[in-house]
Amino acid sequence: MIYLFNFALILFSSVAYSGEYDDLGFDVESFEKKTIEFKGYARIDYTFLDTSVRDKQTSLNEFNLQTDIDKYVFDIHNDLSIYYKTDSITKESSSHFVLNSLTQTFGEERFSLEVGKKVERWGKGYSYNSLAFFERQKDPIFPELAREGFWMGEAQMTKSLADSAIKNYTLTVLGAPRTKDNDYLFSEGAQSNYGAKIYLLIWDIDFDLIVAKDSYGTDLSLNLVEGLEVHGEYGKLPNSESYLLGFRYQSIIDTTIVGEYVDTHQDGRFHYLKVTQKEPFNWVYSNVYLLYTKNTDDDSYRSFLGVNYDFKNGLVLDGSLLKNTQGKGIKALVQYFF
Amino acid sequence: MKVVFLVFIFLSNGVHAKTNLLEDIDKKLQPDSYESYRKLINIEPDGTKKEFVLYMLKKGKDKVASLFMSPASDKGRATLRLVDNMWLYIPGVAKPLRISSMQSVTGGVFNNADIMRLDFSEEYQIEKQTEDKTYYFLELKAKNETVTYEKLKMKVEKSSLFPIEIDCIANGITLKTIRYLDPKDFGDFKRPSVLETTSQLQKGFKSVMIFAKMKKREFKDEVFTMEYMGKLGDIRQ
Repeated sequence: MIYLFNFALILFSSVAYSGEYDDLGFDVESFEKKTIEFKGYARIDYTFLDTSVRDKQTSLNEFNLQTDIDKYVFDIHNDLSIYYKTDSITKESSSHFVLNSLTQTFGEERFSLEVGKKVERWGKGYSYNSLAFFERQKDPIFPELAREGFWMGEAQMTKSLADSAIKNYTLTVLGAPRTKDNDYLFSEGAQSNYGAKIYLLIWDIDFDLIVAKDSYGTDLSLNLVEGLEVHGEYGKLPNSESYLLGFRYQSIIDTTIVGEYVDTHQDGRFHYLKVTQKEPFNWVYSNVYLLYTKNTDDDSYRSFLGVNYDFKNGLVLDGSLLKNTQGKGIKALVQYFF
Repeated sequence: MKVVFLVFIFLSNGVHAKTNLLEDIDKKLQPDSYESYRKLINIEPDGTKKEFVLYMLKKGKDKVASLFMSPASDKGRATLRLVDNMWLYIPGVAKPLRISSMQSVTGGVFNNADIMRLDFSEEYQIEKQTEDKTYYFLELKAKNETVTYEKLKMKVEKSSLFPIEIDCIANGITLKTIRYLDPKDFGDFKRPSVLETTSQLQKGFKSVMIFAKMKKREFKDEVFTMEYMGKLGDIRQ
């Protein structure tokens, strides 16, 4: 009788559980892998700056489209942007097309070969990278805008190890021809640049060592304690050298603080600080942030106090008050993802 | 002599049951190596919802990777967990960043450790075990300080070994409660297909995780490496 009661109880609880979230649905078939997949965004970025001389209004509008083709031997990724810029001072507007990347990848999990125009991200810094040997240097305030890569060929081999201090390693070898837009990365007279990078996950530390034709460098990143990451990098180019030291702290209430000190020797030394509070006052999908950079050599600075909100339909709004060495103003960003 | 032998058998069975119960629960919840799709739904107090869809892979006790399929603003993002190390990859913006377990890449009640959960037996040991006719009541203690919740109180159905309800405790405070609902047959595997999480810190908020297309699949260890995060989409079939 007791067994019968238990059986009935289990049956009842199962019936009670099932169906509770049936109305939420999950059409998983719509997420099946397709031969061609698209994604992208449209972005309107407006800035008003009140300087001591006159007002300045600029806008940078972008339409971005990314395509992935995966069929037979074809594994092609394409990323392109169309820009439209306006400037109230020069009274000029311009539009241009940028092929950010176009790559074909061969290979599998342990070995791959990639050829084409590619964005190569080396280094651990948020605001700057001493190891940007094969990439465009990013704006510390808007690192996401450095989307355009360089033409290159790259081979990569990865290996995981069991019962070892080194948990896994990746060896990357690449070569890039000199073109008119990557000229500054090459030593005088060189028509190509090539390099190798070894990445190790060793004792829970991310470690890279890089040797290129006329440059070399290293970086590392590790968690000192739960929520506190520290990182550093050093790079030597033919005509310059730089290093960066930084940390990223994440609190239990979703406060994130990123701080960095950069010494580029050539362009000076600067501090970078970004404090972000995620979902303040339970205002979900929002962030409030403070961003501050200062060049300690010439005392120039830029600061932003802003808020952004990620809507449920792919729309992201970001508004901020800005203050820099030239003056103060506002910045508004509207971005729609599809 | 016979009595001593029987007592020995009884005791050794008891110890065996206690030490292996967590591993048995883990085995009931997932195959050793598998892929799945998961929908995460954050439900606000006024009933409005935000949804995320992830393609997830797991191998062994301590390797988890995920790829965001939806919403459009997050598509292509990937996360990786190797034991205590966690990274987030945002396509086009940067190389993978180290992230912490208590934070949330999706917002809402689920944090990164909830989404990329390791086996219970990997992170916890049973501190206290009681039972009635239908359930085990387990108090679990974290094996080290890096584990997200220092204690778990787990109610487990004896017949299925499925967790029914788990209280997650840190600093002596119950932070959230997870309910395992709606057992479903995924073909070669049966397990609860819905996880509902409520937070004592975010009153009225609720997050739900729905499992779909969960199936056994072998992966090379190299899939679970930082350099492979940008290529995770290639592993989908």
